[in-house]
Amino acid sequence: MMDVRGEPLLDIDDLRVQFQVGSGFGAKKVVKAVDGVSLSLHSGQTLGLVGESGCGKSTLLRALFGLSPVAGGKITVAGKDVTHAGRRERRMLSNHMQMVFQDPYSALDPRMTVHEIVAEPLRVAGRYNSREVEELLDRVGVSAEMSTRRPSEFSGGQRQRVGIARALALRPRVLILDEPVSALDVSIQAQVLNLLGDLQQEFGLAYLFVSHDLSVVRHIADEIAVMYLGRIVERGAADAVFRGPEHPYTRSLLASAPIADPTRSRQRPPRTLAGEPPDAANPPSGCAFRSRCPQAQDRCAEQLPQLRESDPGHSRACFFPEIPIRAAAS
Amino acid sequence: MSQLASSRRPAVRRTARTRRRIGRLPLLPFIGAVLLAVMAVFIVVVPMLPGFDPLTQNLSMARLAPFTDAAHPLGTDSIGRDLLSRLAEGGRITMSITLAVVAINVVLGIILGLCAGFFGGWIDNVIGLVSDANLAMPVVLLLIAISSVTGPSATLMIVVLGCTFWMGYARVARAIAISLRGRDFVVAPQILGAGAAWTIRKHILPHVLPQMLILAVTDIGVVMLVQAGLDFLGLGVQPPSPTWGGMILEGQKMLRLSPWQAIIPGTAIFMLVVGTQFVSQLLTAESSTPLRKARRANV
Ligand SMILES: Nc1ncnc2c1ncn2[C@@H]1O[C@H](COP(=O)(O)OP(=O)(O)OP(=O)(O)O)[C@@H](O)[C@H]1O
Ligand code: SF4
Ligand SMILES: [Mg+2]
Repeated sequence: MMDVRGEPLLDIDDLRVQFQVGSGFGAKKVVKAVDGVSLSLHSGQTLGLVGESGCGKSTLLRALFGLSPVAGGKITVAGKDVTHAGRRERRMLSNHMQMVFQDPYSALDPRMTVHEIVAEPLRVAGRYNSREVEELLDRVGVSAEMSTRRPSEFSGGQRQRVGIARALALRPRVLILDEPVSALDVSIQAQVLNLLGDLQQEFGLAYLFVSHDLSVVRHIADEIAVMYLGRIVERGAADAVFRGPEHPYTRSLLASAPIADPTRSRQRPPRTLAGEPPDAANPPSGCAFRSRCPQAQDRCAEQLPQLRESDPGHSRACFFPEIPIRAAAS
Repeated sequence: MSQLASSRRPAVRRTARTRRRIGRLPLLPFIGAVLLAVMAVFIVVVPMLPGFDPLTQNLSMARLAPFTDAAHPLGTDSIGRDLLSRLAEGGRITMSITLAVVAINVVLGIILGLCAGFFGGWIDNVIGLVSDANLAMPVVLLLIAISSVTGPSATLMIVVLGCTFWMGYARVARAIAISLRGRDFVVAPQILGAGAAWTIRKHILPHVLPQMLILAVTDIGVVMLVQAGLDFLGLGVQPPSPTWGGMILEGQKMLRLSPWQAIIPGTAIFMLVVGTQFVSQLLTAESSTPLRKARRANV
């Protein structure tokens, strides 16, 4: 169903990001922070990217803007290969795709007024217009009288609104949102999520929405990708993934997030996620989830499971996936 | 929404902050500011007075003690030049040179420090090396060596001193740049395709400048002392142009006969050094607050 929408706005193909770690004369280690990730995002769509802290979500997003060391793969934005874009191409790119940062405290320069902050993209692009900035601020719910103030006088939620206004300044069609609400109070989260929903309608935006909180993603995403240790382990329409998670990791994540769902009670009792994710510099052989997987068998240590489709548009990387009841019945 | 509530709160906070600043201005910075203001007025006003003449000699009027002759309120030196005029003229020259030296150091330090901190890597290494080499260099010997070839001059002293004190500025600028370069607000313009110059100028320099101002104010005293010492050694401004250091040098030979010749410029230097140190205390307290606050908010 997803494939009939024509060319994606953002296409990530087999992307790899590697960090060299280890110091001085010692043997250098390679951390495969992103290891062969393929995703695509269509106009107006919201893709939720979920995974524990440290699984490489931010690294993946930063790679889209040339801020992570890309070791392989291809990033295409609006039909243009921008994997290794230079500065001039980045300027063009910023008209298509913009980023909202995770930490609203570090995202805004404390020495600038919020007007100047939102104006910056326009200034860099050489088309600053004071009224446009005020309109943007107004649109995200920051009043004109506040626009001459500095971020320190703003609450976390208001700062994130400013961050969103800045991201919208160049009228992009894709917003990359790196845990945009995880630093906010729950009551404020809902407000910002509503704002994002409204803006998506109004401007026809596509969102790549990163979160480690499934309940947040469930509200907003059409499609879900679950990431574990640099790889996508399950991907599919949000409904399908939430109702019938097939990868043991997704199941554990869902089990640890309290979500009322009648269809779930018919499946096996959920298990919560045990233990810590393994060291990214030293992943287990075969399936990286093996060290925490209740279903793990010998084969999981020997081979690396690839993403396989179970239903059209729903795939998972596991040798022994859960068989959903709906599939068994059909 | 919460907008009403939160738009009111900061306003209250701001007035409270302003009141605190005015009401509790600490004593020492206040004294420092008064001292500096008095010196500035002195240097500007005295040359406008009718009897202003720092150079004319008058041996019949030599070694007049201060407060004994209305035409020479601060007395005269051993060849009868008016000390009030010489103090003001010397102050003007000394301050101009000091400010020029500090300005060169600040600019050099900021540029090199920001480049080292922002770019890191080999640029950082090279600048670090230059800085270490510069630290190890004995200024006075260098100045003597060059002076022996070119002859001593004020310009030479300015250039040499101008390349001598920048390392402190560079170190602080570098540290701030390093602490900021990974922050999202510094990354954001890079996403936009803005160049390094833009990012540094818009997002790092404004955080560095207040700290540089503190260092600079502290350095004014130091540079002036060093410069007075060099004048004293005859390596700086050449006679008959007065400088405070030069005046002490001349006065020192006459310490028995006319001690005021050295005491008066000595007092001026003392006041200026004390004044700048006191004022820098205030700047330190004031200016580090926003950065510290921002840092705390980020933890
Ligand atoms: N500059 C770097 N050098 C070395 N390793 C890095 C670097 N940046 C990230 N990593 C490693 O890459 C992995 C992924 O980090 P990343 O920040 O992308 O995780 P994340 O999913 O965004 O986590 P979080 O939810 O905490 O934001 C981590 O193991 C991290 O240690
Ligand atoms: S491949 Fe094996 S270890 Fe990996 S998730 Fe599936 S069952 Fe668990
Ligand atoms: Mg992250």
